[in-house]
Amino acid sequence: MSHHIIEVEDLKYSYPDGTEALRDLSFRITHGESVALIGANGAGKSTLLLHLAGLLFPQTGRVRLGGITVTRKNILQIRRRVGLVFQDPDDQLFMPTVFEEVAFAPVNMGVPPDEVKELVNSVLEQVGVSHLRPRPPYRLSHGEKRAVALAAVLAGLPDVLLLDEPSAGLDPRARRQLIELLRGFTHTKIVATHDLDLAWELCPRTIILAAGTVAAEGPSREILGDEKLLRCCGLELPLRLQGGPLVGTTRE
Amino acid sequence: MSVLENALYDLHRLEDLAAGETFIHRLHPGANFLATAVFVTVVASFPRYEVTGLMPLVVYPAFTLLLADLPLGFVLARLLVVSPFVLFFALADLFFIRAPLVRFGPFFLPAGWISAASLLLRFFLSVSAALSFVATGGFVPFCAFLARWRLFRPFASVLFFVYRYSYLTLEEAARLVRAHNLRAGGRGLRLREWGHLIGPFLWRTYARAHCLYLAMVARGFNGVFPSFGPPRKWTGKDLLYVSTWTIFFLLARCVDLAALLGGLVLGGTR
Amino acid sequence: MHMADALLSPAVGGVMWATTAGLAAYSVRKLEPEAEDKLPLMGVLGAFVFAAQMINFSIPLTGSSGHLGGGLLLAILLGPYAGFLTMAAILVIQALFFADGGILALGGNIFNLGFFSCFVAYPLIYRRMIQKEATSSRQGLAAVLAAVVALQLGAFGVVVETKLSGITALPFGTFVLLMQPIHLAIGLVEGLATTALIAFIRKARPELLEGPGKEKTPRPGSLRPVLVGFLAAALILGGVASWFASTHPDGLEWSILRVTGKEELEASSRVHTALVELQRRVALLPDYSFKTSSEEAAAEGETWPKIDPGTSVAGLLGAALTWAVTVLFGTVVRLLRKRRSLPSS
Repeated sequence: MSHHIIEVEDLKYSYPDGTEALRDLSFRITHGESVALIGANGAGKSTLLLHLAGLLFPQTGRVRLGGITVTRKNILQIRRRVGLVFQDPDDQLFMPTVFEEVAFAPVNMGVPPDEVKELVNSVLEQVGVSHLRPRPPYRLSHGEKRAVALAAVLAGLPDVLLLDEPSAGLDPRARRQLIELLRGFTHTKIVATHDLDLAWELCPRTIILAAGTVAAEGPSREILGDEKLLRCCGLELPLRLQGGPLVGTTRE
Repeated sequence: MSVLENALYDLHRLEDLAAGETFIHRLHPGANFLATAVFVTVVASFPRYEVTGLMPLVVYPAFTLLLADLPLGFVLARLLVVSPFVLFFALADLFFIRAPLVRFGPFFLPAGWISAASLLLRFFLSVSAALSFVATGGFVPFCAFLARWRLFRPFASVLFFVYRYSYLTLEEAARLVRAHNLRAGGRGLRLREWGHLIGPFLWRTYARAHCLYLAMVARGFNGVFPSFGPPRKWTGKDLLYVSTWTIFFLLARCVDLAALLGGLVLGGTR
Repeated sequence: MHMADALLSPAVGGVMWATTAGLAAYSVRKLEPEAEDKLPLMGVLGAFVFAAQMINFSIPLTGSSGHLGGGLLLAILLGPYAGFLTMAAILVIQALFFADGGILALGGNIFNLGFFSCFVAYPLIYRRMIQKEATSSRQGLAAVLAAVVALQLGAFGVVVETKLSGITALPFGTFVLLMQPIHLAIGLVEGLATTALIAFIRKARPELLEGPGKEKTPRPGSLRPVLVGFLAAALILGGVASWFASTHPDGLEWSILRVTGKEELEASSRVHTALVELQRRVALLPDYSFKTSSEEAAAEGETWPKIDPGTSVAGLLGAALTWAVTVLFGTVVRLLRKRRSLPSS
């Protein structure tokens, strides 16, 4: 796997109605890192992810991926390397069956049909939803939809995985399975989330966004333990640090 | 249950049935469609005062409903919902056509009764055939069948998207109505309120469409929608199915099978 | 107003199918260059209209309720071509899943509800009216007017198609007098609902209302698609109708042909031979002018196929037999199936 350093420099983006979503945003993420992206609602997390996936383009500043600046010209190349799992799986699942859903990306990338089949099967196996293969995605439970959405992105064989609120709406068991699954991946991961306990467990590093720019960044154990900092960004300490049993913290 | 929840229930019901495993479910969607299309055309082609001649055609919907495991009650319920317009025409026949047509001893049956009965019979036949079409073949294979023609592929995609996202919009709309009813104290939705309820719904729909497009693009969509699933070839079975039914329909159209059968029985008792 | 299969003749249904398929193909062609991000939008908006149609609102002073149809709204938001295709998709789903409309009637329904709003009312009324100035009151007025015209034309389409099919006894004039006023009310409601939504979008996302207008829609006066659609429908319908009018007045002679056509087969049953003779005497009257029986002439100038009791009895008996056997068979299969599935599950 080639080195995929993600660099964001002075990124600025306003929506067509004039709302400023991102401003003077800069950070750097190195190959294989897992980074949590946290911040209050409307802080710009999802907008930033769309930039990293090459779905929005910076109005000023730039986004570089593995040394290549993201532009409209090399967009296909960029999108191949980056996989974005959307917040609402219903926005992402649009094919008639789970199999075709997961095959969508490889088929578009010109993978030969027999290899597609193999790839889809192995990805479904990996995510633990092989049994859903012939089912229509819109008839699945929320947890199953999330798993299929993740599988559909993994099938594109991205190097960088962007996850938008991966644990939202999951029951505790499904959330635990997701964390274990993600922990096993070697991809560079950026996880936008409100689930700070997930951030604590999964991501050694955390970036806090506030009002479209980086409010703080550093090792998760420091950032997520800083009650004052979190509060001023509209966040709270992870549950595990709120006087709950600290057994889980010793896991790593 | 509200109209919306009923609609959602019907969608689920028909799709579950479409997942059946009988031979009719394995037919080429084109074969199923062709048989249904010939059927409704033949039914429509019967003359206006034909009742008994139409009767034997019930074999087809009975056959498909049975294989689809679609209960008659489901069909009859739909029939009631969509019937007012047709009932209106049936009543018009009763009213406008009073000439006696059939005579049983001292009683005359006016022609309007016959044509109204014929109308209702056709209505029943065509509705049950249409419902069993989806229940035996499924909607998605039908979209895939349409998508085989390059020209109609965009339409097939839209058709599928409308279907697929109806599950979500119906649920959302049902939630909206439920939330309104909880606070409305039995009063209906006023137009102004309706606008303010539906407006944001429309807006969210746009946001969803945009996300959906981005999700497609993120996974390599470049404007050419892939056809659904592997191509399905016509087999001898498909042809046999279509031609058997077609022959039966045409036979029923040209020969009054009911009268023939009745005649044979009457003749036989002699 | 969705027409049912039972109300159409195959000829009219077929013509409407052909016309609609042609219009759909034409729309797809017009769509292609910009279709990339439009397909998901069309689909999701179609699903929206589909659900929104089922949310009723009360109409003041009448005690009744109305709902959105959506044809005009789709044309405004997506442009006429994409709007037409989306409306068509909604109607296909309604026909197949809810038996609202039918398979044979699908073409006619798409034409009545999609063509008039997207290719007539939208470009000729709505676009024209807001071309000069698009104030919100003008937009509202344009929407109401366009919706009323679209529904009047649609309702007239229903009348013409049903009448040409020769299914209904309702005189043309009565039919028109019934349909048009009802659809005036429905059109007003449709216009008001569309206006309410446009007003909302104007405030929240004004750019959506300009979207399709800037891109490739026919110039607001372009009559071409309208003319093409109308001409095709009118020509074929006219041709077919005139042919039917000349050979099958009121579908009557079909019935007569049926009766005579049957004789050979029925002759096998001896009971009928005498009756067939009687039939022939009545049925072989080639045209109205030969009719001498005063009883026939009294029947509002119309004539009836003579159905003799003998045939009727045999027919009814046969029909009852087929239905009885079918029902019996169905019940047995159902019972067997239930029994088989019980122990296994």
